[in-house]
Amino acid sequence: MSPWSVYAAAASLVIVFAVVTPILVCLWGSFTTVSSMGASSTHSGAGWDVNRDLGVFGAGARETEGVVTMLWYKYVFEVYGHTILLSLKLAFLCIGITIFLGVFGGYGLVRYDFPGRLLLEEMILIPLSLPGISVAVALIGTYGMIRGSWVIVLLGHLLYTLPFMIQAVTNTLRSYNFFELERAAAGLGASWFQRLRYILLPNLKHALIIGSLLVFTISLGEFNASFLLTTPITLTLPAALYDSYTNDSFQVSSAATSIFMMVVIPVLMAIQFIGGREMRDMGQAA
Amino acid sequence: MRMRDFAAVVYFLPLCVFLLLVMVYPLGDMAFQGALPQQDILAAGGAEDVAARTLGWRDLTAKNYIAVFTDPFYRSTIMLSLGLSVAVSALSIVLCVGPAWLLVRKQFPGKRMFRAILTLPMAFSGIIIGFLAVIMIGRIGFIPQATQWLIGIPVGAALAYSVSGLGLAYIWFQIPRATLTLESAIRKFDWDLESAARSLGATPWQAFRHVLLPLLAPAIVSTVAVTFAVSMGSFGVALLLLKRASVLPLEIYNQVYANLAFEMAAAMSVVLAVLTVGVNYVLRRFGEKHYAYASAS
Repeated sequence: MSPWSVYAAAASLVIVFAVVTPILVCLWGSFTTVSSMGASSTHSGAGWDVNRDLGVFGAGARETEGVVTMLWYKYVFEVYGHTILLSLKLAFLCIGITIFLGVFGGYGLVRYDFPGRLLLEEMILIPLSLPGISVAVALIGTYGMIRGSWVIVLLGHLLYTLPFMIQAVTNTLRSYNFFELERAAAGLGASWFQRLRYILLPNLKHALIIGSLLVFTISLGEFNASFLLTTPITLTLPAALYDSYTNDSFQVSSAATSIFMMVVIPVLMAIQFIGGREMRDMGQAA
Repeated sequence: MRMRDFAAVVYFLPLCVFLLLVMVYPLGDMAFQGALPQQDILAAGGAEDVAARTLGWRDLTAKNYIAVFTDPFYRSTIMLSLGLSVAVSALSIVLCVGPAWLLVRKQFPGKRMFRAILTLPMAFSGIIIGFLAVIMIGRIGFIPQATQWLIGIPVGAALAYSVSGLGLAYIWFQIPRATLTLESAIRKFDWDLESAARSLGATPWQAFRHVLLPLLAPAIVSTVAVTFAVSMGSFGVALLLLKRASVLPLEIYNQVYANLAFEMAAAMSVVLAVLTVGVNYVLRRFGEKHYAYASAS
């Protein structure tokens, strides 16, 4: 074995260890009881039973029985459940709106040549390298009056997810001679809507699925821009995770993180499975 | 205007309106606000008074922008951001070029699994990576606990809260970005050149130094374009980990929340955005140009 192969193998092992271990520790932490961590205290004070008197909130502080518990998940769903719902809502809205903007915009970009087309293409890519915090400050400065509504968070998410949808659409349209098909359909008398419905959308199916998965993952995990845009009443899941990390116990934080992972990792694997190139494109995102 | 051109306008309209309203105008507005004098909310007698006083073009000043570069603390923040991003880019390339080469050139059991594992960090936002860093190399993290048990010394305890710990967390989220960008570049290599050099008597080192490295250079530039921008803009990790120093995104956040100096935050955001987008653009262009050259020659 050459030194180069040894280094490559060693670096790969380091990567596998570094990526897998924290995820496993986090999963373990989300199920583990306080007593199994060695920090047990069965004292609840005279006549005062935390588990009984404060319900899931109090019990979250003292779970001492057994080795494995689902209590932290219960706690997270009770306390942060609404943030999970808001994050899902934003992600699905992002998918819908980016499909609308991406299909029409992407089609126009590939189909037509006009002055400023290259500029427009560059502008679409700018969010990929634009720091999220800058966008957050800009949006607050301009649309500060709607801060407190989830709409301003949606605007931030849209800006960061749109490039992926457009890239998915334009890559597909550029990869083969789509416009021949369309011209043939038009020649046979297909109307604009018929061409959209029977030619464009079926041909973009794969691109739109991949694009939607990318948009979903990015919107759900978006933190850099949304942390400043959210308020306590419009908290997204990643912003709530920050609250959890600063206020809750290791177990509750782990459970909240594990829930996020359980949603995002399957989607990421699906992207990986369906398309390899898009996976790399996703890496361009901050 | 011909009908065709008119149709094009209709297709672009939603996209252009969106970009204008959500990106171009807010960023321009931010550059403007960064040039406004800082308002002392307490002295003015409450936020309402400040809002009532409208500032216009005549009030513009470069004071905030100058302060970003002249104030010693802000300058150290920028330098830390830049230094960290450069160091992280370099180290993540050193870490990932081998695995990327393995993915292109070698067949081994579990290859799909390996690729799946190394893309995982892509799904996690900075804040989660900060948390994972705390449970791994925090004060009672997994690694200090494990080494305490194995060799009796807690290695890396509280490392997460130092600048080098922050760097490690940054490298962690660069793993998929660096590996996948390098992989797609290495895939385009003409490997015959390397074996030609070897059969002409070049040592492995000479073949690497004079054949592979020049081929690899554009790939490295493209990778740095990505990793530098992502490191510069990363905010979540630093928010959770960094207590004694500050990087630029974290300082912007502090200006908004701790100092209530929105004008200063706006000026810093403009500097951060221009630095990041600018460096990314230049490197991307450079990489693409030399890509074309490397694959053409």
